[in-house]
Amino acid sequence: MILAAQSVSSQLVDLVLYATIATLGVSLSFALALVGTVRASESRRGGSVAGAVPWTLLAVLGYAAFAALAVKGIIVVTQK
Amino acid sequence: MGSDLVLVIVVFTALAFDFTNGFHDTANAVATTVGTRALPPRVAVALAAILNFVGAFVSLKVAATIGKGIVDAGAVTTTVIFGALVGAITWNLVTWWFGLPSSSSHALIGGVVGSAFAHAGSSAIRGKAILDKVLIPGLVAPILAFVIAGMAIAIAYLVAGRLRPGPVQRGYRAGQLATSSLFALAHGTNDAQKTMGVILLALIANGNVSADADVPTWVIISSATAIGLGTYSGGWRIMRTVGTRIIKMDPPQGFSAQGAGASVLFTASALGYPLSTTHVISGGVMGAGAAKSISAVRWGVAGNILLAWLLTLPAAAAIGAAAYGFCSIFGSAVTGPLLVTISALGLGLAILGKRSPRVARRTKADA
Repeated sequence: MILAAQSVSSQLVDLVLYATIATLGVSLSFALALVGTVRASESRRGGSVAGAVPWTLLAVLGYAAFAALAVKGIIVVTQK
Repeated sequence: MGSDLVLVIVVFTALAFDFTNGFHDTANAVATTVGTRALPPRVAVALAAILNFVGAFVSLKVAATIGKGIVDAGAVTTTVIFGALVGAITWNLVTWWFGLPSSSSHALIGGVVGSAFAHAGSSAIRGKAILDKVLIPGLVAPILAFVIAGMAIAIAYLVAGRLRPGPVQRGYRAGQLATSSLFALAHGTNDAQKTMGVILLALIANGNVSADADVPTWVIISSATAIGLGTYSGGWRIMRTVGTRIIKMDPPQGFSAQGAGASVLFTASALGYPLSTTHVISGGVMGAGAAKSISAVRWGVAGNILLAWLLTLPAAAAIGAAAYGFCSIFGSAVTGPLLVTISALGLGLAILGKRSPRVARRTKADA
């Protein structure tokens, strides 16, 4: 009974920890991707192609991180 | 012959439950997407229907887990399963009528508990399993989703809040397509398999397959089809509640609610922790609204939803017990389930018949 209770509370702690990390990861990566996309677009429109490069890089990294988290989610769901 | 007819009725009723599960839970995946106009409603429900259908085929590991450990296996008969399904379907329809998002899984578990209790008494009920598998997750899911959806929207506003609103709104609307698709897929893998499990349980109880048999292919296909069709038919009342009535949602809030919800759901899946998709998305929507402003959440609507959650288990159990009790009046024969089914079909046709003139009038007016 005590072991079962410990198992449930340990699962709860893991759930809170990993779900928080995953959510912050999803939110941050997508927000950074949007910042990169919008700023890169503004730089290009302002005639600064070189200035757009770091923003484009940020956008690519953000979208890549977001996609990686989504794929991880699909793998988790399909393999449970 | 009689027991085979009961089995046919149970399978038919299980697929009817699957259909109600689909249209009742359409809102979980698409309400925020429709609420923020990321997708037109019909496209959103079509996408959710396809992903629910696909999700039903993805993994079969959770099939046959419904009711397992919740009640004593010896107390499960086809009539008990029938009573449980009647309880779950009735509660799903009641909450849908009032536009309240409640857990279909909790309704089914409540139905199983009530029907088994009516059949075999309190000794058939495993209280500890109900606490661990239903009550604690029911408390944890919405609170966790509420808190981390609030954190997610705070990050969104902090990082992207100073940009021009137009591109940001468009970007978050596009992001919602990904998060709502993930939600729909997760829903299909979870909920269609509950029906598969119920049908498998009935086949085992009736002696058609052995206890360690795999889920038959026709069960997988019919369950996937029923939940897909149910999702496509769309539970618009509940969708309105989740998408527009709890908070007035902007695309970053919709994305944050769904992103937080999907993260909670997938983490729970990985840990083998059973959570309700309904509780998760409702908590996420409230959290995304409250983080912007506490008064942004319509707490009256939230209170009604909470009340529906509290009532789901006992109400479905009471209806399940009543349905089993009615069937048992006629002994173990097919008469009870047959009468209940015919009455339900008659009631359904009567309601449809009453709606027809109004629909005809609308159609004429449109023309």
